Amino acid sequence: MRRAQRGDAAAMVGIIRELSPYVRRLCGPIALDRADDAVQETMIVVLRNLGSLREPRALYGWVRRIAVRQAVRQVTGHHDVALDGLTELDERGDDPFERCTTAWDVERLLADLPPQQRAVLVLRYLEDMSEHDVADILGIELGTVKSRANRARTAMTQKWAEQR
Amino acid sequence: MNAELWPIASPLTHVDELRILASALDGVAFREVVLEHPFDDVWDFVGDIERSVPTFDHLVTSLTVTARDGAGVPTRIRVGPLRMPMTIDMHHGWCLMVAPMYLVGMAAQALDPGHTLYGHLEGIPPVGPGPVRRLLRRPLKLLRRRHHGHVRRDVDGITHELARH
Repeated sequence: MRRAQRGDAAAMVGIIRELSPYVRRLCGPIALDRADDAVQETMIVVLRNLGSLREPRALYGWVRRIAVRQAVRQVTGHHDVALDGLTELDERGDDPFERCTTAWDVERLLADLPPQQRAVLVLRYLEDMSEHDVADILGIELGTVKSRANRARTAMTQKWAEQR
Repeated sequence: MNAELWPIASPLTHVDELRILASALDGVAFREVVLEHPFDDVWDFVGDIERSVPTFDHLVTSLTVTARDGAGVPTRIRVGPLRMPMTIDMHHGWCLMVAPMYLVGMAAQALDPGHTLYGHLEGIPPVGPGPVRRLLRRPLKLLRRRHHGHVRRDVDGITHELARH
């Protein structure tokens, strides 16, 4: 890690190989057919800014933040990702993904959501993060997150009902 | 919720890795081309660095492997005419040669039975503590144009040599 931060090319390749499986998992459901580009853009941003990371133990959290934002940016084409309007998932409701039995089911549900909502789903379902942490990573107020609760889940539930 | 059902991006190829590295380093140039040759033909030539590099790089008069690992894979080389020592990380489709002030990367990826994507990186990477690297950033960017010309000639040389074989 320290060698990569000093610009050691071989160590930087090591960082690419260590982090890319995690970044691929984050970018896949958000950027969908643009996910491969999002992974490469994420890795470039990570390597170019690696020197600013003071605490190596924070690496994965830092990378997660970059990956999610790059994935949303890749599909929206916006340099400043507008994250207002993100939705929260209702803890009391059913998990719509429980009904999915194939990868195709999951991808079909995700494809009908805006990328910003897909980002929330990834952080809540795949990363198992709290509402507070999701709001922090996406740079929005917790109140805003809460006030827009259920939208993604509702949309997915409706979509699921239509498809069945 | 079964996490394995969620979409995942494709694994990075060696050419992807080299392209990412090039984009992250200010002082290097990168070029990728589709070669109309099977992967094995490309790598049999490029990967035989003692023979191939002096034929396509006009600045290299000789390249000698000075150390190998237990499997016979080169780990250190010396490059003439300056007798520049370099460490080397090499495996099938991937070769990264590193000197304190110079970097060369070569990567190949099979596209189909008759075509290979080849990536070539070369230049002076900014190495050192953050303030030193920031100081070097501007002059290295200016040098990048020269490296672009060098890389283009190298790739043209590889294309030419493959056509001859």
